[in-house]
Amino acid sequence: MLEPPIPADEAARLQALHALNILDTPAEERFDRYTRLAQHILQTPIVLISLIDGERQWFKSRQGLDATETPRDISFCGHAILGNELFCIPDAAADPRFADNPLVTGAPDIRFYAGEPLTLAGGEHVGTLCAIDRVPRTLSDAQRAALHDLAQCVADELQVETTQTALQDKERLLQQSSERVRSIIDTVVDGIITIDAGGLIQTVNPATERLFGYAAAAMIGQNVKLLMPEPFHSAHDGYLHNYTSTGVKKIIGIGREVVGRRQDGTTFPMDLAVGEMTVNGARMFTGIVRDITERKAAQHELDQFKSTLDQAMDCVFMFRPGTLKFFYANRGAIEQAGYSIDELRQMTPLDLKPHFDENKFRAKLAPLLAGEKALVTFETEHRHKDGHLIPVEVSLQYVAPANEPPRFVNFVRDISERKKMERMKSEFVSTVSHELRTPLTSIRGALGLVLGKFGAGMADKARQLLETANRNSERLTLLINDILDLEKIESGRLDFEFKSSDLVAIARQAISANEGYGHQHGVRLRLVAAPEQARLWADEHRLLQVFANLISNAVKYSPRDGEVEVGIHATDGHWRVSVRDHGRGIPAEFRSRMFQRFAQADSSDTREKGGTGLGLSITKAIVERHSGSIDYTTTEGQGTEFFFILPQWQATPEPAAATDTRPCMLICEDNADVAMVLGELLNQEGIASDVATTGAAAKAMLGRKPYRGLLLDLGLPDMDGLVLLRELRADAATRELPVVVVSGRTAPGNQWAGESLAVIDWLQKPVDRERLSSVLSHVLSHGQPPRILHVEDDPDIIQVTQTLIEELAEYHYATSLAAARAKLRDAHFDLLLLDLTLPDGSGTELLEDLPSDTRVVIFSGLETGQAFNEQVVAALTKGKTSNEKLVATLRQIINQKRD
Amino acid sequence: MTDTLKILYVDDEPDIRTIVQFALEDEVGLELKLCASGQEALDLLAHYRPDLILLDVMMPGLDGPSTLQHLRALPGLAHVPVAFVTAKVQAQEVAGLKALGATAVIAKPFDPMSLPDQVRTLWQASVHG
Repeated sequence: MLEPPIPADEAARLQALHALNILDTPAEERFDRYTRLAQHILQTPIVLISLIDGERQWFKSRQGLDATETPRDISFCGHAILGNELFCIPDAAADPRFADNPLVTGAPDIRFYAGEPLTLAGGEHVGTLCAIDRVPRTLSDAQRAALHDLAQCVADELQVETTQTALQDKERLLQQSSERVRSIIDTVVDGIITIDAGGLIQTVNPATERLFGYAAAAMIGQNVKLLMPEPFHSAHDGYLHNYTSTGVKKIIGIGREVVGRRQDGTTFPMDLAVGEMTVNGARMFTGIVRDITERKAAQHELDQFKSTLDQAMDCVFMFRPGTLKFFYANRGAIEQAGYSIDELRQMTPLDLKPHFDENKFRAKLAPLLAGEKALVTFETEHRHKDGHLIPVEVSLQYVAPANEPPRFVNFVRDISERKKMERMKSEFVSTVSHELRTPLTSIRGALGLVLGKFGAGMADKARQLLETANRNSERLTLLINDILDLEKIESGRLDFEFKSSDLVAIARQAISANEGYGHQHGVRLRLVAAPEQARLWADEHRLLQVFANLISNAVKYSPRDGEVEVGIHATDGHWRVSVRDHGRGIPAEFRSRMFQRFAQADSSDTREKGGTGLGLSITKAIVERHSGSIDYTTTEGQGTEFFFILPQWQATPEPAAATDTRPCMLICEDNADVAMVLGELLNQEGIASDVATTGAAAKAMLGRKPYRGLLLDLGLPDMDGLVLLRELRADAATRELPVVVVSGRTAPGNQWAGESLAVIDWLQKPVDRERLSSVLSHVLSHGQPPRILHVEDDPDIIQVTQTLIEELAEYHYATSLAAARAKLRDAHFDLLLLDLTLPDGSGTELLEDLPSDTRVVIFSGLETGQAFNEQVVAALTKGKTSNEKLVATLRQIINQKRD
Repeated sequence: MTDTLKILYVDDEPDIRTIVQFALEDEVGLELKLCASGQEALDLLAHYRPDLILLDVMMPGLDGPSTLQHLRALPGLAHVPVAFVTAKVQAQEVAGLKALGATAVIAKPFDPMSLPDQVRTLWQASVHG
């Protein structure tokens, strides 16, 4: 038996066969009708449509055979598909290829076989239409031709199947895809409109209906200009015509912002994108429209904010919390700073604020970051790019919205004008008060003299009238004083001299000072409750003013033979001071005006009670400058209690020795309060200090660390100070130590029991601050006074300055740049006090080749807006700097330098 | 101390000079001279040596501080006590005036009846201080 060979195109053939998707499908009438027809035409009992699979032949249709498949290797059809023609075996038993074939020797007992290949469109022979008989026979030509035609029909039928499936698939896919597209088009928020070349609307999506307020039916078939207001409405036809005739695109493929018109006639801004397409050869346009009302509104709002910010008088900067770098500045800010926005983006607020370093500035930001404060406001100066300084008020806010990077918003207001006004106002108040005082001096003087010298001989009436005039001239004087005080407090120029003080002592002093006044009114003053001592940080003089005001008020409103009680109580970290009277109380209607200026319970009070009506405002201001608060309680008919609350003294630890580079002195003093006061005085002179409370401790401390000097109390708990001093002088290490005695004892001269004590000075308690500071300068200079060169062309200023600082330093002056240069060449100066405007140039020219250890203080009539090098340690303005301030500044610098 | 305390008062305001004159003229042991300007005072001081000088601050021409500086340079006047009598009474101004070398600062308006005692006290303080 010959097994059927495998055809050369077997792989492609099998692929084509499998692609028909027909193997193992049920029998179908459309094939069976052909096999029946072939059975009839060929007159054979068996007709099959056999498909040759890899290992088998499978019958799609079969007549006269039960089997549905047989193995390929014994098949006749396996042979038949090898050629293009009919494969015919007239007698299989006589043919050596098939004679021993089991299909021949056994069922179905094949003797005759005729198989016509089934050829697909690609030329593949996937099987046969074959006829089989159990007896040998032949076919007529007509029968052969019919079999050929039938095979062709079967092959077509096989492929019809394939085409139809593919079509169905495509249709299904198409349907799916179009459903998908449809649902997209139906659900997008953008309106989608197609129009034809004539501008007539073909389709619209639901969004279009929502956007324009028309139903789809009302739009379809209408010209699209229905949806456009004028002038677009009229222009559209021309535009469309233009494009279709010239091809010049104005919008197609580009998109632009246009205006849409709703059915109700209202219009809205929209983005329009137009695409072009060809459908069945017809040109169509698709427009996609988006309502941008909200976007426009947001943009408009943003533009408004931006232009408002730009036009605002205030400067607005924004910067990041981490890097501090600016990322926004409005126009005002850019102008004020003098830098471009690009330059500013590389800068931080520190670059604009010469009075701040990073630590100091971050300390301002800290409460904002911590959420303790919503706003931080302070006054400072900004440096313009060209160097000049601008007084500014800075407000800082921290803004950290969700989903946005956090930032600081920095409002900066130029307060040059305000500063100028404030200066003018205070100068005006000062001048006016001076001008008022001069005639008042004559009036008061004349009245005083007349009453004093001739009052006794006068008629009562005349004397009473003169007394009235005299009393009122006194009141006028007080009023002027109060106005001055108040003005200075408000402008922040009232100088306070804070030091560690005892509130109880101040209260006692105030009571004794006002006892006379109380006596006049028949009122007793009493300290009803007070601790032994109440330390606080205060200006004693100003606190006396507070007590005087409250006590005199209380006295005025007390009944005759009444009592005013002063009390001091410790509360949580504070002192509460109360001044209580048993008078008529404060009328309810007056209470809201208590601390206002010129407020008195009624105008008749002014005459009856005296006073200026400014006292409580001043009192309140003073208390507030002490970080305190003031208030009162009152019961009509029973009395009033005024009370103020001030923070208790918190001893602040001195900076650790390791980081304190200032000169250090030892204070040997057993009274902690006195030691604290001395320490603070030293601190103000730029000197650090340690405290020893016993002589033994002082000796130990002097052995451990070199001190620049010793402040020595004589009454020490463990030994007499003079004994300690003698011991120190006997020790080589401390023989030369500058010692200043601070004692209640009077100086015995510089000798004691015949020995030289070599004390620099002997200060009596309470210590005179002026004297102490001049002694300290001496101590720190080792007896060698520092040399100051004052470069100044005004002889009067030279004279005054010389008088002021000759104790402090060796004073030299030069009235021109040339003279100054000569002096600087010849000798060394520790400090240069420098005027800027000199006859032969600017004082700043001297700064260039100055020895590096010469410090410079600018003292000029000009507001120094300039930046100087680091040798310039201070800049003072003539006329704004008091003599005291000048001296204090110079002393501090000299002391620091001496270290 | 001589029997008579010689006082020179310098003020450009005639009314105030009058008040001072009335306040001090009848006092036993006080001798008063008045000048209307700093220059007039310096001219007088060339040949007259008072025990105490009272100077107004704001005067046309030579003001009080300038007069003080000039008179210090005159022979015998380097240490004579000088007090300013002024309407400039703010703490800072007072301190500034004292820093110029004044013994004291008397605020205007002053009480004319206590002026004699005030000048005596001043003089005594400057002698014993």
